[in-house]
Amino acid sequence: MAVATPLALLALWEVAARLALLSPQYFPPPTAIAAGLAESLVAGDLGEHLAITVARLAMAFVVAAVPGVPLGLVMGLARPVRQAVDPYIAFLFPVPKIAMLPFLLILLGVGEPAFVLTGALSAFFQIVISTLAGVQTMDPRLLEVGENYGARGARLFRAIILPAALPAIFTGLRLGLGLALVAVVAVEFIAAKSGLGHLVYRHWQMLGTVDMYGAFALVGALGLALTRGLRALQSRMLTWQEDPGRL
Amino acid sequence: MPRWLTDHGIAVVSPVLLVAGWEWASATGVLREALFPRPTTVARHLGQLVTDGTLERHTATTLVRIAWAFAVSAVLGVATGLAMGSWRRLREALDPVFAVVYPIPSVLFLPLVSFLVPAGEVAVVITTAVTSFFLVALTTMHGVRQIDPLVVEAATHYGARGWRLFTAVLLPGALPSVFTGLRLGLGYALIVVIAVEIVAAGRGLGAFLWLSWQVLKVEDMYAAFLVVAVLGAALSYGLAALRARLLPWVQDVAER
Amino acid sequence: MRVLRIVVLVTLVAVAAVAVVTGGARAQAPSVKIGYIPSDSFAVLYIMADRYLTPAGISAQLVRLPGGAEITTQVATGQLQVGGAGMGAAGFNAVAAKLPIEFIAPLHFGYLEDYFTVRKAAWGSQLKRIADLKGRPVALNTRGAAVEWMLDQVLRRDGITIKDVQVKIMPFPDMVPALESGAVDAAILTEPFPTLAEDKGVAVRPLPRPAGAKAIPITAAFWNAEWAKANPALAHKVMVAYLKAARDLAADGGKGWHDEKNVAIIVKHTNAKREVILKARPHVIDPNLELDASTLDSMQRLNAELGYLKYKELLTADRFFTLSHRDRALAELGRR
Repeated sequence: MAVATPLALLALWEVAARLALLSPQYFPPPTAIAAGLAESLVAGDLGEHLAITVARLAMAFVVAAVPGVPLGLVMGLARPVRQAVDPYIAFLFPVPKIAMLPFLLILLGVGEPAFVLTGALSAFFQIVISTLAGVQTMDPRLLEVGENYGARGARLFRAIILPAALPAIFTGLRLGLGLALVAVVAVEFIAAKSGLGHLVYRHWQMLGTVDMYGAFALVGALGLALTRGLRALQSRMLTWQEDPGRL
Repeated sequence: MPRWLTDHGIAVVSPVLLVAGWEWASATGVLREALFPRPTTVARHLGQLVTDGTLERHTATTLVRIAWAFAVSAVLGVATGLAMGSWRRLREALDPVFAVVYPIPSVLFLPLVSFLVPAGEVAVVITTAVTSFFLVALTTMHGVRQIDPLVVEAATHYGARGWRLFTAVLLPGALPSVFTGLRLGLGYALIVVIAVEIVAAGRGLGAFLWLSWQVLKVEDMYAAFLVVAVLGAALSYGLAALRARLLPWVQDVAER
Repeated sequence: MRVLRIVVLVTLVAVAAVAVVTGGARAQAPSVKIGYIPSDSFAVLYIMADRYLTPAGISAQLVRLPGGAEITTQVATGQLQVGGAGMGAAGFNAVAAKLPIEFIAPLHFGYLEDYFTVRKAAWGSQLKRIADLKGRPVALNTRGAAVEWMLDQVLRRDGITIKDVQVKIMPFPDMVPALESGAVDAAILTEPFPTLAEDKGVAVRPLPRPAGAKAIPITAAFWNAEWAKANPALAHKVMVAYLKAARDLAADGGKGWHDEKNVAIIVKHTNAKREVILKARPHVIDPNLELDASTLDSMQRLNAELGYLKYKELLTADRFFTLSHRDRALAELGRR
């Protein structure tokens, strides 16, 4: 059932392209795209580029999450830290990270560090903010109860605060990963020489529309797999939380 | 020491120190000034760009594009979201399409759009509107669906139907989510328009930023970045303030 | 404790960033990294690396980058040693800002007539001459680069300038459908696109090459000045290799561009098809790497007019180019 509409749309496209209602040069039939995709994956370098994009994404995510979650937690727990860091977060969060790209290119050169960092920055602020929110909006009664039973410091943190903040943290990580994917692919499209985003651009450059749509579809598949996968993971791991949310 | 000073002191002092540090590093050569100009130089350039009208021109172009893209995505998105929230059939049909298309970065749609529509303002606006549309539609749909069914039941019980039910119950109930979606959608529109302007436009803040980088007019590049940052902040926090005004009953919970 | 850890981490990152930036120029790589854009205009660099540097034991690494600004910046920071780019504002501004870049030689020359493409459906009817493009849309792929100057030059032949036309910026592939649909009436296209467009019957290149026309230097090669100063012997070897590669292409009055051995190297680095390269109109390079300084003045003037330059006084050819290295190589190999 869930695949009915997409399939119907694809069938419509196929027919339109074959009948030349849509220009087959710019909108090749989906079957041709699928065939090209399979061929590129098996015999060509499409698999390589997919791996590169995934690798950049993974690195961006790690670079964002490893400092991001602890920072968010500390900001939630220590007021002076929050006040010190807040201005930077507030200023940089709404900035399109792609606008930072030229600066990063000068600083780090045109290469992986700049691409990964742009992706990481996109995710970082979201993760920090969500984590902070998780700590700030936890039910204060939980804290009270914990303290009443003698939990202090590290114990209080591990047993009460962290689990209470976990759903928000997880949501932040999930959203952050999505943002990182968007940023990495966009950066690849604009400035890189490898990766799925670059492939879409390159094949657009050469008017190789079959390959272009193939790469495009792969980006969609990657995004879909990540969003669905993470949501499933979140429901599995945080069983007490009802709906992890649509996005 | 008065509380407000310690409270906000850190918030002010640390960025000031950072800027001062940069000024010093650039002036003394620790940072190569030709690539990392002094903040004072950048500020001067920014002033020049304001006085000669360049900044106004590009900012206006970008804002107009955002406004159009936002309008399109908001109207279509809210309409679609409300429809999807109310009719299960529609939701089930469109959901898979949304799930696949939504995570794709908008800028990737540029080639597609450019095949359908001649390269120009329309193509830029449409590409910018894509992801925002999905965001708004999804959050609106969520907004409708999370309305407490008991409330709806009670209202129907008291005779509210169709349009009346919609305006009295569904719309206000969905409004906070709709607003969140609109706010996110606007933020996204800014992100995407900058990216699209980088790739395919001659005017606009993104185009100006990228051009400055391409001709290595670095001072202009930093100035452009600052303007984009301010714009982002203004849109994001502006809408938040607007929401506090219009929907005071909603507590801003987990999002800024 | 946790706060301290964060502070330490941030400081380390900041220090590392500064070190990368300032250390880049100091790093003395034994190999030579060459920045390029995958276009057949950069053929001299490919042949220099593959045929003359690598076999001589110099590890020549070709690094593909998206554009001239990126290559210029990376050579300026020392992350690359050698690079090529269209003669445009990035290069001019870099030299004027005293970044450690030296332009050492032209990279390729071309004929404007090979680049200037007009919509076939319009040529001969709505557009009878170049001046008819006044107020019409024309496509360029970027600003601040040689293509802008090239368009301006073509337009000036018939009394108008680039300011008289409506410039639309779009990537090269967009230009072919744009010409087809009429979204633009003309474009500055680089091979293989003009050949492709002609094959599709979408566009023509209406300007005949005047007899005895001189090719125009469009791209130039440059290197990091600090690296060259610290490695004079290596730099000289690179220059000599460059000259040899240029002569391979210039051989037989330019037939070198279609020589199979050279084409094979070009194909390797550009992903273009062999047939397309053979069919395309060849580029040109002077076997003595001579170039006409008047083009430089003209290019700067246009860039200044369009507001791309950060300086007021035009750079002279000998301020922009450091031709002593070329001259030393010429002395060694003899002039042709």
